[in-house]
Amino acid sequence: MLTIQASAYVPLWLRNLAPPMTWFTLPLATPFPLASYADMVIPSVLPTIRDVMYCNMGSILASPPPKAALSPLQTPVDRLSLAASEDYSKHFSALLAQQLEGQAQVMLNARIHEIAVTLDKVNDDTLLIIVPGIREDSPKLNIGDRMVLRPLDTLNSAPAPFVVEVEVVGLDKLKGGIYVKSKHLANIHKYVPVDAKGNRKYQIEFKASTDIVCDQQDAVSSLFSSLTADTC
Amino acid sequence: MSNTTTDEGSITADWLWPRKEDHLSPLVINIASYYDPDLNQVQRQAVADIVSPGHMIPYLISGPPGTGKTKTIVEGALQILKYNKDARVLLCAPSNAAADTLARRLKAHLLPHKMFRLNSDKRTFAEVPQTILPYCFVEDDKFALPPIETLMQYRIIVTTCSDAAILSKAKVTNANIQHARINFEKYLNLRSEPVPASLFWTHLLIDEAAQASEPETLVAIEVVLPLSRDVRPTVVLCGDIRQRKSFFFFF
Repeated sequence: MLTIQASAYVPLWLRNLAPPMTWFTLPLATPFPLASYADMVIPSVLPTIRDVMYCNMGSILASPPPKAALSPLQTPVDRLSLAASEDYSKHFSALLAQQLEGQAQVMLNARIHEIAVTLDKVNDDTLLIIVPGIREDSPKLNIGDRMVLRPLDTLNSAPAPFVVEVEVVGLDKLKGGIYVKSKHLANIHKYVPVDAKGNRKYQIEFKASTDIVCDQQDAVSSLFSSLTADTC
Repeated sequence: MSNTTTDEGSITADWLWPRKEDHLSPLVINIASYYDPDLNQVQRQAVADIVSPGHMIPYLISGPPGTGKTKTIVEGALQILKYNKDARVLLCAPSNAAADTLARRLKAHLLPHKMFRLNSDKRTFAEVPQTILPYCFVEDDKFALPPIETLMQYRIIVTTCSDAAILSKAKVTNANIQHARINFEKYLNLRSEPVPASLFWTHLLIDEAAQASEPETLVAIEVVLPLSRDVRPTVVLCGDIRQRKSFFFFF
């Protein structure tokens, strides 16, 4: 099949920006809910289903399943067999691993080389950024994904020596708006040089959160445990 | 062939690969009055079916856009709470917007101590409709889980399929609660005979289910999956099978 796609002209200096010298990165996300909350539900002296399950399950990130061509999953002839459970688990683990890879590729391709960004301060560390492409799910962002913004001095064709990482905390697709959380961005934005039209421009890259896919993999593993509990 | 199924096998197998003989007509409950008087006969029948106990396999509600699937599932949730005093419902949708719509429709009939809108801690307040905020829990300027005693008091929790993982991580699942209960009683030597099975989550209702991928729905299903086969929650999937979402990102 022939795919024809228009490609936007990107000036050479924007295509080959020198790597930033400083990263204002976000700390690793704290787990939600905290482990201490789960201990209130079930005291840690008692084993839980997940504790038992995780002894045998590999992470989709640490040990992704081998790549293989996938065909649609058929209803098994013997639905109570171990093979049926294994096929189901392997099939969806492989699909999720491919989804994760595809998601990373989509994010990579979705880099916005140059865009005027307006920031509306929602509260102390939450800002609304208008990125028009989000209306059409380009890229498809989810809460928890991250964006990396690099200020540009377009008059001098030079990027800032630093980048700021922000976390997506909300989406308003009708307006093309992304709510982000960052303590640094609001302060930095004031000092980004304006172009001839008075806009402050950035290069934006996107990073997909793996949380959703990992949660789905956990659910697949859990269902697999439940299926095999009766078949082993 | 016997009409009584699942003497063998697991609930998971029944749910993932339902057989014709697993479809047993549940004990039908006659609904005396409806919260939404505009429901038509087919919708009322679906509500009565949802409320009736004894579903061995997921109950499916399918129809094109505008046929009132969401109002049927909302009515179903309300009637479950009315007819089953011990019922606890997990009501999910694939997106936050769809979950907010469900919460908005339910709030006309439920006070904040009965319904909880569970949000990810990463979600911003600006995105949540003002009318739903009293049904959410906020701590340290973020959405959070309420104290466990409060969480267990709610009759209905509304969330997205993905955010249902929060309940799994908090170990508020049927399997974990049953497992802990059995272990706890063994640990304390409280009784020697088997513990009678009971469910914390009695119903899982998923609206717009066709918009979710299968692993996405499994996240919600994991929460209600029981440990034993003695009792099983009712699972209802509602959506338009002609509007199925693709699994992958195309690039």
